[in-house]
Amino acid sequence: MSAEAVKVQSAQPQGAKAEKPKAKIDAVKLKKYGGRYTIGIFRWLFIIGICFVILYPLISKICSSFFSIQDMYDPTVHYIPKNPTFDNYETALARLGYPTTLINTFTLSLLAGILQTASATLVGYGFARYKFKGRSFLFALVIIALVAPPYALLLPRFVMFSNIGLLNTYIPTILMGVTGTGLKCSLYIFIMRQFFRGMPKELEEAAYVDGAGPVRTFIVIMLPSAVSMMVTCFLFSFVWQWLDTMYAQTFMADVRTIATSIGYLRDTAGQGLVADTQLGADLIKNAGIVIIILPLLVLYAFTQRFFVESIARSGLVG
Amino acid sequence: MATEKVIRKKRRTLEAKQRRYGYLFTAPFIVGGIVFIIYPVIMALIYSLTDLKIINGAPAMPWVGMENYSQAFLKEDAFRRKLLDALTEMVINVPIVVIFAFFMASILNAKFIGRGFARSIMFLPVIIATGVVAQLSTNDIAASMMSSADQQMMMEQSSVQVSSAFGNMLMNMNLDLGLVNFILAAVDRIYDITVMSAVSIIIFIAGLQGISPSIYEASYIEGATKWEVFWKISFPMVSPMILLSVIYTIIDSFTASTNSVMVAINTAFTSGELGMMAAYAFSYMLIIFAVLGIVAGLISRKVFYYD
Repeated sequence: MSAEAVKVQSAQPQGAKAEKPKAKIDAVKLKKYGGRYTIGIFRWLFIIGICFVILYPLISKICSSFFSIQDMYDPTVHYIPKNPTFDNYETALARLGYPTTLINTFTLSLLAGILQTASATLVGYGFARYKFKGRSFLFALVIIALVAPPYALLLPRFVMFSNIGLLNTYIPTILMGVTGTGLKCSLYIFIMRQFFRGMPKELEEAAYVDGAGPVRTFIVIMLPSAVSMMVTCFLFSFVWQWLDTMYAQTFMADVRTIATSIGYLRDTAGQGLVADTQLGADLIKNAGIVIIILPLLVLYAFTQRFFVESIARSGLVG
Repeated sequence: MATEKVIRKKRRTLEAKQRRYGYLFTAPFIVGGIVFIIYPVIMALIYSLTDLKIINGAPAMPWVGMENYSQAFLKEDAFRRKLLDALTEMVINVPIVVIFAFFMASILNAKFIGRGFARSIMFLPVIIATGVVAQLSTNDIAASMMSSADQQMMMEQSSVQVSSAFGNMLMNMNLDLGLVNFILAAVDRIYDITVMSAVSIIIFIAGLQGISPSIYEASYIEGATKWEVFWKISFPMVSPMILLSVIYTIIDSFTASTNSVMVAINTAFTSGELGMMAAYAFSYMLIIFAVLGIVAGLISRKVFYYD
């Protein structure tokens, strides 16, 4: 009995002792992590705010594209239409000339995306790894192409292609894509150069020691590790070509692409409407925007993982 | 003697090899650079000295010498004013965008739940705010009317109230009026700034990710505070990225389709005054180069390179 009592007695202070430090730990934890949680909450609030700023115009466009005019005037309707209608979409699709426009634009963007990515990867690797005469001059040309106001370069190119009779074909796009001088291609060359510069040289040296030539090393060793960066470049060039108006309007003025249909949609969106022309036209334009960017959003949803990853571990540094 | 010769020969062949493969890999761009960059730039220079017009599909270019340039810079002051506008806009935009992008990148670089999602939303403006979409979205009354009943009004009002309250607060702090207006303008343009910052945010995240964690560990062990770590490690280590971001933002601000000079160039192009257009474009290009050169020269002195 007494032994048990002693045990209990001795156990009590032990329990108290054990409890006291626990409370202390909680206080310390609160002090240590409380600040972190507050910062976390503020960070979340801030990020949600910025996301809202970015997404709000998009969401309001998507919502309003389903609105009918009477919904627009109904003060009880907010964001979710009472009488959702696809009329805006039907009109926009017809005015944009789908599906011909879609197929043409897709071909154009795919060509530009693949060719520009390929040439930018090659050229970027050349700039990053090899020393040769005229390299800095050549790189200055890359910067010139990036900085020059687009029309300064477009007009002479237009005259050149029109003299050879290549307008309204895909050939100008192919030629400029292959030679790395297409739409914003300088930026991709620059990105790829920075990426390859950030790669460790030891990989290639090991391959050389094992007897691989530079071309083989490039294809077998460097390309696989550059995939996510190439996907990023492809995404950029595809998207920018898709949304670009300048190049397509200049070189393919008579081919129905989004670039050439967009003016038509803008000017005729209100046609055939009896009342509220301006408002109805805007609803149709919003439907048009949704149609145009929907494929891009799908593409982005699939590639954004590569995109975010490649940024995270890219060698854009340096 | 013999070995020296061998070494020299080897080095020479190594250099030759370097050169050969350098030319091989950049061959596409060498061709492209000559055909699609050097030649067009020279032609643009020639066009700018003529009164180029396209009549019935055939170009006619009577030589006018420096006439276009003197008209752009001496006779009319419209172009000069637009240039000044473009420069002012650039001077306002660049610091805001770079600071905002750096701030966003440091937030997005920290680990938290939903980071991937937040990042992918941040990059969305690259897709939805360029080219065609921007062209179609101008004067969209439907979107602003959609919630016109009360919400939009309320939102606008409250945002006005917030910014005016914020303004009062800043004024009460006895800040310079110009500075207050600058900050308030930035607050009102938060959407534009977010859109403009998208690429810079990418650049900065890449820079922050590139800093080796061991440097941070070492400095924390030595007892550095977060503040010190930011100014002594993060900031110098991303300074090359700051240079890159500044240059990109300058180019972006100068060549945005809403830029007043770009609008003038576009108008000259669509109205068929091609010689004038070439003169505008060519002189604008030289000015951009000058600005880039000055800014890059000033910043690169302060930039810290790890190796």
